[in-house]
Amino acid sequence: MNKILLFASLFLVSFSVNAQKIYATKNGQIVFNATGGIEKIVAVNNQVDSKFVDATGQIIFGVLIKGFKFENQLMEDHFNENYMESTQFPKADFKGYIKNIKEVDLTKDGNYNINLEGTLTIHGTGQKVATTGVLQVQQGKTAITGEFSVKIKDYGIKGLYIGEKIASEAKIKVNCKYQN
Amino acid sequence: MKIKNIIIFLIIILLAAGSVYYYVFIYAKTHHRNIQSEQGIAIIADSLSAQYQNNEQAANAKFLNKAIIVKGQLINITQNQQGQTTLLLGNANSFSNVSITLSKNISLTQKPGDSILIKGLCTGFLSDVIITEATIQ
Repeated sequence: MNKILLFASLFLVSFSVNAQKIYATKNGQIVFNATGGIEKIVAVNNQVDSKFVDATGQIIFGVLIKGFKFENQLMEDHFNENYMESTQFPKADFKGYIKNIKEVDLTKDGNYNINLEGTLTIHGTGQKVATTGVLQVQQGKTAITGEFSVKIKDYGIKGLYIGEKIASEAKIKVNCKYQN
Repeated sequence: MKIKNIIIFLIIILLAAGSVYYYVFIYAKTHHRNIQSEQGIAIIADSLSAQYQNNEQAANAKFLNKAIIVKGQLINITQNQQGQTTLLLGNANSFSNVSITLSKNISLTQKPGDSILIKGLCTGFLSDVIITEATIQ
């Protein structure tokens, strides 16, 4: 009898361990905006790789710099060669946690405000960041959106016009729809 | 005589400024890099993802920012958030594959399981090797 109880409880424990779920997408979107003057400096990347785990709130976003498309080819070339040096530093990522994941009910529709903390690495330089976002659950589909600013010079990015035609703080807009 | 020289000088300056403006703000907006007209490096999808998994830096030196022609088995077809078609090429059991975003308005007749040949720009490696601006060959 005791053995049966032991097995039954082990069985239940193994269930609760397996209950964590990974949400992932390979086609998230990031919009970069560093417009400082009249000329629009905006680029879009539609190949954002992101995953998060519901049990721990651990989250990662990865993006390739050469995947950012500008309207103006010359701007794109300068972005890659003179500023981001994307041959040397091909990717940027954020690794961290959704601190208040326990407040999110992923089985219930709604918009949940989330707090993110972690390390943002751009141009080979990592910086601790904290930001907020919205986790949306709608008919079983999960999405995370957020917007934050990065000080370009914090990431060792040099080059002309920063603080003039190029804003000293770039706006980064994230929109990831996860496949369950 | 002197006035004539000054006028010629001014005209040259104006033409130079005009052509710089044209190149930077008009030409560069309408003339984008055309991956399809570049000579591509031909490779099998499984080999491309294997090279990236073994040594990302060495693979980047070979493929990053280059036009690539990839042949492989179609694992799945999805759409990205802007409605562009995306394909996954390689082996469904493999940890990393080749993730492809097709250029706008390209229709696809192949189905998952079919062999396919595409040409696009290699932008690097995340969970998969990423190819953008691709067309079907």
